[in-house]
Amino acid sequence: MANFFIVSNNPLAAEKYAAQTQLLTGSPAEVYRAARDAVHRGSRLISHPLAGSVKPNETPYRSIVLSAAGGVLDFRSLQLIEDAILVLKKLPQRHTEQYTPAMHADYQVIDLDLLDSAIAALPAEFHF
Amino acid sequence: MSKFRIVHYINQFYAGIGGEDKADVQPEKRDGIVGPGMAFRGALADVAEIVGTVFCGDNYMNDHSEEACATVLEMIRSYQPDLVLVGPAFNAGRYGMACGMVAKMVDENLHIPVVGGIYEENPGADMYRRYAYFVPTTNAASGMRKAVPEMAAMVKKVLAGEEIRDGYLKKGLRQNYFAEERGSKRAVDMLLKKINGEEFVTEYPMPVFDRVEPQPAIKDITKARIALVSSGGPVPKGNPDHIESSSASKFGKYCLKDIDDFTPENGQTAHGGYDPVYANQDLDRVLPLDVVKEMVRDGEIGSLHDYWYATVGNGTAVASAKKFAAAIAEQLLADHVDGVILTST
Amino acid sequence: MRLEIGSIFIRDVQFADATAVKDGVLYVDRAALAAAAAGEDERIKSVEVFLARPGESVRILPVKDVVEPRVKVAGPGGIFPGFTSNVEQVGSGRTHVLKGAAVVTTGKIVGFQEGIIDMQGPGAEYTPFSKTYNVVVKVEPIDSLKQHEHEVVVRLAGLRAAKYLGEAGRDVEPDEVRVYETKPLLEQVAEYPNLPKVAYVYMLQTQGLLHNTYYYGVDVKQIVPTFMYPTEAMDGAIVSGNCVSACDKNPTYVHLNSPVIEDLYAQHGKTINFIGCVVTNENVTLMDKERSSNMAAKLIGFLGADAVIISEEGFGNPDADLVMNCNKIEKQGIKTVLITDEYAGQDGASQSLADSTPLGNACVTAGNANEVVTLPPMEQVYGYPEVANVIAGGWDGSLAADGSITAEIQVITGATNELGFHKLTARGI
Repeated sequence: MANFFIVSNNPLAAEKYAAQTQLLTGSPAEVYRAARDAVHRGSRLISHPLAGSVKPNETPYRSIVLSAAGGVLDFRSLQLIEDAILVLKKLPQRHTEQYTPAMHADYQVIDLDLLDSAIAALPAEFHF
Repeated sequence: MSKFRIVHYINQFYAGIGGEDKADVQPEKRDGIVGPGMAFRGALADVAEIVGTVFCGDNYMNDHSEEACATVLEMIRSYQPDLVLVGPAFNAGRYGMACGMVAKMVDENLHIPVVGGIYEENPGADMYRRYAYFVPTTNAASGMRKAVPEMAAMVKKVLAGEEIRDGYLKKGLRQNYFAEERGSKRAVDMLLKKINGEEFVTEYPMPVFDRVEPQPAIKDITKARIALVSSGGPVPKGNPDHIESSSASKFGKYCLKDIDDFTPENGQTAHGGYDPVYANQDLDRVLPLDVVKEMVRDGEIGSLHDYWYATVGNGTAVASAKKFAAAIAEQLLADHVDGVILTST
Repeated sequence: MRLEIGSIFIRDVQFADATAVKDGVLYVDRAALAAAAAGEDERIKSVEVFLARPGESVRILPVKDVVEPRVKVAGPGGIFPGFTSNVEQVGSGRTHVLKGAAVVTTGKIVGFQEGIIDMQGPGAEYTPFSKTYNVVVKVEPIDSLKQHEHEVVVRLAGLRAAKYLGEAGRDVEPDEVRVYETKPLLEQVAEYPNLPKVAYVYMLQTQGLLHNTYYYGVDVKQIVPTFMYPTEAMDGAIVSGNCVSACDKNPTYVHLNSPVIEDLYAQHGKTINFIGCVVTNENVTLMDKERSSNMAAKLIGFLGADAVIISEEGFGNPDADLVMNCNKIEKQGIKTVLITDEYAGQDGASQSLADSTPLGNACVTAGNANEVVTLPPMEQVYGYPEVANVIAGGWDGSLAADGSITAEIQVITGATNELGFHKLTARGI
């Protein structure tokens, strides 16, 4: 049993890391909210919620790696996820639903690549 | 060349209608100058004219802000001004908020400049500074003699289209421009100054948060005496101390010995900054009295202090909040309270 | 290491039968350059070449990278070690530069790619590459090439094109020769014993596809922070794979002309002793960020630096790296100056960075990337004009019927470059 998990709305993430991914259907805001809830339940952030340079209002896809719950509230993780939510709020809303299917596919690939980069650098205490 | 047209916004007091007892008067407009506008006339004579004055009761403006602002905006618009002058409000909290609201409406809808005068710690300054060139004033109206020429000078600068770098409360906005030197050169210059102990000016001041170091944890909560304090406005039904819905000037202390649970009959919120419906239904949502009493009964908490303290955080000046907090803390210490549950909204 | 940089000033670029530099004009054999850029790469279907001069009514988009033509004429190794040359240590000997010329690669790797260079109009003010004579290399890959390979293909083609053009400067007498030298640490400290020792913490974004940077061909996310002689950068030790949110990504051109390095050298031996650089990364996981900032701070302490400049690349998560580097270095009693840019929202009213520290009291800003500008239509668009629709598509009403684009300046290549390459900045009003 893995002792980390991924919150994501990216179908490619769910495909590649099926057992570890909690796939959400909403926007990146939903992913951030789910990650924040997990942090409050005692999970720590493993990957930075603002990974990559694609702005959080621009990409329709976002994946975040967290430790399995159980610890005490990690304030650094809480601060990072709350700050990420603030960043999302300050950027104007974009109409990502108007993107073409090809663009959606590209955004999924970019997000998966950032996720892969986190999984490849998973700290030693975490395992599949 | 014709003179620039200015509309002046003031409150009921400066319009000569009356003091606190007339703070509920609705917006009105008068052609030409009313009240303090007279003092500006001489200073602006060669460039601009106050063509109209709009005034409103401070309470009306704060308590019915949506309708009041819409009306005030239309009244201002009717004079087709080039600039709107507001205040000076000094440290009058509700007048400051009113001036700020008018500045915001004008900035967002008429897209013409606003010049005002306000005391820096007035909550209206903090909330609305980005919408106007607010000249800093003293905290009391006795500073009018000093404020008028400074505000008039700012009006002239703004009307002349001059680049304005100082003499007003910074709006808190970031604005791009092209510097003389590229960034790396500026970084090296700044580093040299820092190394040599010379004064340097950072181009981006990082935000500084007013952090409070937490006290050491209570060792045995089952023996501790706990008090409830809130800035969410939880008061006994009827708001006996008339704590203001915004820019509170006081806090209240209320006995909770005879209350085990809040109901619509025994509690309400005085806060004007959020929808009060759910708080008025059950004030435990703001001040968790029912749960704490239960925990005391079950022995999970030592005891509950017999009084709760309440104020309204909505637009309340930081200086006032600090003053309230110091007074409350002093009383809690005297009453041997070990810990506080502090709620906001 | 001691490096002579011989600059050949380029004042025009023209197509010709043979590639050569003569009297400040870069003559380009169009077909030969296309062939050189394509190399032997079977993944490339075609390469087209265009010229864009300052002041022309030309827009280039989406820009993948900008590369300066250089050639190594003496000393070990070659330009772009690990890519177009072997991995010998570079940074010594002599290098010739076609100063004023640039290769601009364009390739549509993903559908939402940004990166605009306008050669005239208001957009030209924001990009440093409106002032260079640009040789635009448009690379078309074979069908169905995956995004990752596509990125590699365009990146390598740009490096090969720049190397090919650089060769034209091999035997040309430079208009100007400058010498840059940092010696091995003990010698360098001894040379100017009374001057404060200054180092440069060179942060590189390293996170994934279109977010990568390479050092001697190695993906920098896989290294721990390491020491670099400043002159290594001038020979192409650092190569960019970054182009998302183009305003604050460092094209390879900017690494070659790394502005902090240049401006520290301007003071070297006068007011400071420039002892070297620490190259570090900006990775995705928090543990990597902790490890890298610890190692970078350790190296800076080990070098005995009195003060450092720290430059950032990108926004959001790199703000955390910047803050960690600053804190850990300042806490050793070493003074820091930071270079960043801002995302303060279109109205400039929001918090600029996603992280902050009270120790970051000396900060240079390259401007608010959320500022909105309108770029008027250009007569000629090189690259993939349809991308304008996509840049516009994310935000209602930003592509007008006349072809003008209203967008945040973050779509403009190099607008808020955080190595300090450009003059844009911001102030509080």
